Amino acid sequence: MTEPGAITARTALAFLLATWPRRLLLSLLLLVPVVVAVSGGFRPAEPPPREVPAEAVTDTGSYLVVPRAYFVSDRVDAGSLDEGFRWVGALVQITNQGTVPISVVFEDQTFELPDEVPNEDGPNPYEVLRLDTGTRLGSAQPGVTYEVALLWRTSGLEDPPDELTLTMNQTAWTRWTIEAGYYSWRATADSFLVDLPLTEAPDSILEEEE
Amino acid sequence: MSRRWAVAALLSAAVVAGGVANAIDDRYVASGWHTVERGEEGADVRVANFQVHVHGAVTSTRLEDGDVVTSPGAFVVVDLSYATTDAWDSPEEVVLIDGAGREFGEPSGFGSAARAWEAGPDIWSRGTLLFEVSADAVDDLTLEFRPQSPDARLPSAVLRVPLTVTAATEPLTVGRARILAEGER
Repeated sequence: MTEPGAITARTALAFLLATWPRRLLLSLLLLVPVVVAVSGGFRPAEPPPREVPAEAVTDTGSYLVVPRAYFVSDRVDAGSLDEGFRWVGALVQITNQGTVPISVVFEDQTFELPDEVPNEDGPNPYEVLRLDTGTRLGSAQPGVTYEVALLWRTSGLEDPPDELTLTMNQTAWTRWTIEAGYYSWRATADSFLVDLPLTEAPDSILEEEE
Repeated sequence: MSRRWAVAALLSAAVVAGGVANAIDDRYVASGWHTVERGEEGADVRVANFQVHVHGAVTSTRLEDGDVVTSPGAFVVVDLSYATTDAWDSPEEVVLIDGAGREFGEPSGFGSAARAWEAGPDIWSRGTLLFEVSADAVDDLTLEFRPQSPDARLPSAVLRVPLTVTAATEPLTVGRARILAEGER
């Protein structure tokens, strides 16, 4: 620091510390960052997941969802699905509220299995089957209401509990940062939790008994 | 001293040029910069390297697909012919768009679902495409024919043809495309 600079700094400090009200004000200002840091900083706190009951219509952003029940089965069949796996499935009704089809397996971050269920793949469904036709849904067309089974492969759940907690993330229509001009539904920090009761797997998606 | 000014001027010029390029990219290039050709049913229309002739569309809640299946919305089957102007090619995508701007793609999971097929230079083929749409969209549907996949960063042309959709009493059927004799549509 130069000599004139040092003189200016000393003068300013002397001015700020000259009277008690000024000293108090200065100490309060110095406390602000400490208080902010102690209370968790400026990062927005994650909103707590909201519990919703089964069979309640829930707006997750991309969908209107009616979560219904869950099942565990090793007889799920959809043509090209690998055999010999145990599947955990969530029965839900979904209606795409957006303006473009949603590819339910490749670009949908809405539904997640709880962490404690041993899952072979990612947290989002491995396959989604329509209950009316028993075939894969592929894409949910806008405004069409589908009854579907969201399916995950699992190595656990030999003795399925009476209830399973499904996470339904809130999604937002988000602009891509890496490729301008593209949008997709992205999960936000907000989510819903629903306890699904255990039920039988629907016949329409089971392989036929020999 | 003058050298310092020159460096400062060059630096600011670089920053300004970058800002302008970014603004142009953001506003014009990256906003779905494509040409929309408009056509009508019963007429030959050209778009990029394709010639398209839309015959019409039928709707029903039921589809003959091995068994008869019922849609929670509505099935729409579009009857159309097309050829190219240069080489054998198939369109990247054919979708339906309703009055509210909602876009309906080809559904998967139906055995009879006919995908967009390949057509030749001035060799017309006629076939049907299956869609499953929201029931309230049926009255106001437009077919959008996309020779290339829409890329927000590249210019492209699409064709829009408003559809007259008639209600069918029987379950809809989807057939394979067939090559037409010269002059037929």
